[in-house]
Amino acid sequence: MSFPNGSQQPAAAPSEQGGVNGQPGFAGQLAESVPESATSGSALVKVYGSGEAGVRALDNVDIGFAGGRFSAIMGPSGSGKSTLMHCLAGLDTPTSGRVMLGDTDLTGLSDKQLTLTRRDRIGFLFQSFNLLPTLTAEQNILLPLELSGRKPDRQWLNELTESLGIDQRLRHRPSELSGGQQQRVAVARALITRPEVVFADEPTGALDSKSGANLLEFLRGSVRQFGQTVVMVTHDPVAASHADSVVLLADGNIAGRIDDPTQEAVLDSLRRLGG
Amino acid sequence: MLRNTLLQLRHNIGRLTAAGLAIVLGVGFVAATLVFTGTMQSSVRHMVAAPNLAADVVVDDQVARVAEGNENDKRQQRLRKVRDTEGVDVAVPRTESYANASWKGERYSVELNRLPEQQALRWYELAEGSYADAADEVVLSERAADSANLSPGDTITLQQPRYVSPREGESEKAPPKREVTVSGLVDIGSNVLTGGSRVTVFAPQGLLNQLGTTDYRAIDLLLADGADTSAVLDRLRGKLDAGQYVKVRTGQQQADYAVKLFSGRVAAALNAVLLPFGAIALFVAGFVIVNTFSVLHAQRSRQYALLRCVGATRGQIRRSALFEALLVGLVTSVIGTVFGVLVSATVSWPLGLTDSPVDFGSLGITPLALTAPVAAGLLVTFLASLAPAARAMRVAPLAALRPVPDEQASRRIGRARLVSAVVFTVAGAGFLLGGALLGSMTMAVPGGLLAVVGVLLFTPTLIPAVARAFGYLMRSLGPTGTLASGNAVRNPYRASSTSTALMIGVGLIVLLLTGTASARNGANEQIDQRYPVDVKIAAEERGQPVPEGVGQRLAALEGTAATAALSGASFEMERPETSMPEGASREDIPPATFRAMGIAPAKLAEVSRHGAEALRQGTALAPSGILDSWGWSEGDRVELPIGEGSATFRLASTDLIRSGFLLTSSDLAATGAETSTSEIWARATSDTYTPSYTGELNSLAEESASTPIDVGGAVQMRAQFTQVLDTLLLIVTGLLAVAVIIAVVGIANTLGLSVLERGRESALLRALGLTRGQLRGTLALEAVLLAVVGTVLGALIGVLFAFGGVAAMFENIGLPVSFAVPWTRLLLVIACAIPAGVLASVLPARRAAKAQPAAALSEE
Ligand SMILES: Nc1ncnc2c1ncn2[C@@H]1O[C@H](COP(=O)(O)OP(=O)(O)OP(=O)(O)O)[C@@H](O)[C@H]1O
Ligand SMILES: [Mg+2]
Repeated sequence: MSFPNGSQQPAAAPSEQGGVNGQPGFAGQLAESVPESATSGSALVKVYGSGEAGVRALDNVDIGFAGGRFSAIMGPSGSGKSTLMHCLAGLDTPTSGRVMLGDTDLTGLSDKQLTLTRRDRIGFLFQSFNLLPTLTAEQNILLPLELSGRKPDRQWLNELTESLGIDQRLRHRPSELSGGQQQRVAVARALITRPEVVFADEPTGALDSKSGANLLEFLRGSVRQFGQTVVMVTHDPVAASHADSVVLLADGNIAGRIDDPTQEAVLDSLRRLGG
Repeated sequence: MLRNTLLQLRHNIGRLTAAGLAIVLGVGFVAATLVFTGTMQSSVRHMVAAPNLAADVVVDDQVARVAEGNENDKRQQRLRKVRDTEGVDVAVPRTESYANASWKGERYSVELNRLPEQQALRWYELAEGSYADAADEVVLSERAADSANLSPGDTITLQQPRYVSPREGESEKAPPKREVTVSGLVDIGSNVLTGGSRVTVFAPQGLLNQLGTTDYRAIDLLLADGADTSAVLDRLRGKLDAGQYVKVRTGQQQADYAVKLFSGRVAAALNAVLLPFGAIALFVAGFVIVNTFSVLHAQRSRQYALLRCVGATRGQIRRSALFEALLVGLVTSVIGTVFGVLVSATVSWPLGLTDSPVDFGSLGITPLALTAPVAAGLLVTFLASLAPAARAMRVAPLAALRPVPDEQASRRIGRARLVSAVVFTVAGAGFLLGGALLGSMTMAVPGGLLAVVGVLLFTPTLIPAVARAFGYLMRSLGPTGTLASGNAVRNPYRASSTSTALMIGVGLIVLLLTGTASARNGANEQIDQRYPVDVKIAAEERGQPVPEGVGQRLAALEGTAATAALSGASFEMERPETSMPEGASREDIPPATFRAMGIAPAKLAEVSRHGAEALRQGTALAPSGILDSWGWSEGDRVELPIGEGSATFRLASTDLIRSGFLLTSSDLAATGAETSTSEIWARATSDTYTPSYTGELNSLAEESASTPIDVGGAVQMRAQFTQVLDTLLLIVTGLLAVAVIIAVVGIANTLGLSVLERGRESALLRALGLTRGQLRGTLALEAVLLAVVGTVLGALIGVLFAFGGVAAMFENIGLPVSFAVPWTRLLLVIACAIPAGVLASVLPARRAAKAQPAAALSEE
């Protein structure tokens, strides 16, 4: 599949940093990781509202996340983490700039094409409210497959649910599961389609530290074992230390990057960003 | 607290639209009914009062109306006495009768009134032409004449109506016929409801005499100059020994009396017919309101909890909820009343009750018509909000502290409710069944009502259960079906009150459909019993032969299975001594004229449905009425003086004819009497009402205008009965449609509110890859599911109750129970549920599909 290149982009909004205005291609500070990027954005601008009241949530961001890696996005509250993730995941459209998923340009897609792309190629994990209350755990897990009319891979389902420890809970409804169990069901659902990228927005935010740690271990395991690509937004330095690399965001700009992060390194960087 | 309530109300105004619409429709119906009947009442008032106001004094003569035989003489005497009374200038009998008329080749029934010679008694105004002054001239009511395309100069033919079948022994001579010219038109201010669609003919006394129209209902008096009215009244009362049947009043008094008698009764009857439908509409609207407030309060439960945390008492929460409901009820009821007034204005105009659609001055807008609907709307809103308010009040303060709002636990139906539901349903069904078996309406009707209450109590378990069953079917439609069926029943109370509203409307419609189908069935059986011959054609003028060629044309019609021509002869006969009325002698009673008809038994077997086997050589068949009144019984041998001599026949009773005798054709020929083709009988191929065949029969009758013919028999009876029933059904269904529309609005309401509540879910689904179309489809399926469940249950319950009611009614009037289920119409009603559901989902679905996957996922 190939899509026409994004010539529909308007000349990008001016940026104080100068840099790569309106230029196609992936130039920038992360250029070296670009060729293998599973998901990337170039010259991303997202403005909420307009005029004086407009908020520039993303201010000309160039970023790429390598495949088969566990990446974290961190930054102070309001720095644009969720916005970035929504744009990369095709949940929201950037005001300008380009989003690539593998070699697909998401910015040119219609709503329907975007929806199908999300369904078949992306997995999601949210902080809470991941599951539909009317469906059982198993129905929830299989929902993306059902929506696309694909046959579930039973073996993959068993493998996932067993390793997540929810194989005995499949007939239960979300209201009959603990928060941690609910979140593990959501993980199984995110992985069932073997998506190219799993996006997670503070997946451990509503969990106690033990359940949170378990979940992160599992995500890390999926990256190591199956070569899954995971991009996670988090506030928690402990959570971030499970990742292979951390990208720091401040005021809608990339403010740095830490490979093989430790808790201390992350805390340190955050403190320097000044919250 | 009050300010908070108002703020919340303003914040949620959009969510109240559907509930408001429901109240507006229900209240509007009630208001429209009251204003309409009021309008009608005031327009009728003029019509009824005007003739009386023209006279100084009116003698209201109830006897004159029904006078017959020697009563006629007493009436004449009374009239003479009135004329002889001192102070009376003129006394004119007020004739108000009916006549058959024909113009431009068509036949009509008209009202035939007297045109007084005295200008003062002519209470109408001349609109066109001049008043009639010769016995061959008449004036007509303007509005009706216009629509009948009549104008001055046209000629019409008048004839008194003949009895449908002459009583035994009565002369068969037709009443005299007169051709008259229309000299002018008068404006009597009539309208559809006062018979304005029928032409009123005002004829001078001379013409009335010629036509033989003698009866009247009142005498209009003009008093001599200077006469003392009260003295004349006293004198008249004394002379006429006025009492129960004869009353003497001044014109004004008589006008007041007539207005009270007539318009009050009509308005009361109209209200009694229409208002129950308004009540049903409001009742159904109540379900929509219950749902709206339940959902609103559920959505606000965290806010209520927070209020409780900061110190609001339960009572305050409850009062705030009720106050909100009352405010909504008041505003929407006022809007509904205005809407109702507008509706009745639009309806009144084409009926001729008002001069224009904006002629509000002529509308009967009484204080009651304005206040009662508002009060009704307020009451319904208040009652419907009690339970939701009570639930809102019970929110625990702790609920505010929970991180994620509880997914509304599906509340289970209470034990007490379940028990009373079972008791009511079982007891009610028992009474209904008992009433059906015993033919007791007094048992069946309360039983039915009791069972309805039971079923309504059951709905919170019944409807989700049925919906789940249907839901399994929908799962086969893929993920949208699965989601829709799950969503539809996740809140049993909400689902049940949504579907119940529809169930009530549909149930009533199906009850009526089934009832009328059964009534039609029963009537057809009765008609088959009493009218063994499908088609009977005779000359309209009794004794005249049927014109040539009619028989062939009848036989050639598609739908005619067999025809037979009956020859007939008239003969006169003296009553036997034994059947003379008490005290009467032979001289008092003239001989009776009968008609004997002959037909070959084999032919009779072809054209009749039953009863042909009784006709044999030497037998005379007669209706049982003749046998009874002449003191004969079946098997008697009597001599009938037909033809030159007289022959003896063995008597048998029959339903084949309504008067006279039926013989075999050879027996009739043997009498040597002069005969002519008296009637033509035919059997139709179909034994139910076939509009095309009835139409062809009618045009057959119209073609034979030179010698008018009558077409009777079972076919006509079936047609009349079916048409009357269908018209009634159409009107009542139309009235019930308001309730059904409100119920469909209710579905849209529930869906719309649920969509708001499930905003995050919709967004999650969209994030996971549900397309907009699929999301809309999910909602459409959910709505269809709710609609189909309500409709199917309504249909089922409607049929069951109709079964009980029909059985009880038929038993009650002593007819064999005949029950028919109108399958096609029933399936049509159920099929309508699908488009209705889809329609109800359009707006909510559009809203749901607007949800941005990302926006809705961000934390509140
Ligand atoms: N729908 C919206 N409308 C207007 N402004 C928004 C909207 N969503 C986010 N913003 C603004 O955009 C900026 C970035 O928001 P974003 O949600 O991406 O922050 P975040 O880094 O995820 O913060 P947090 O850590 O608190 O979740 C903020 O200033 C926020 O107020
Ligand atoms: Mg965020």
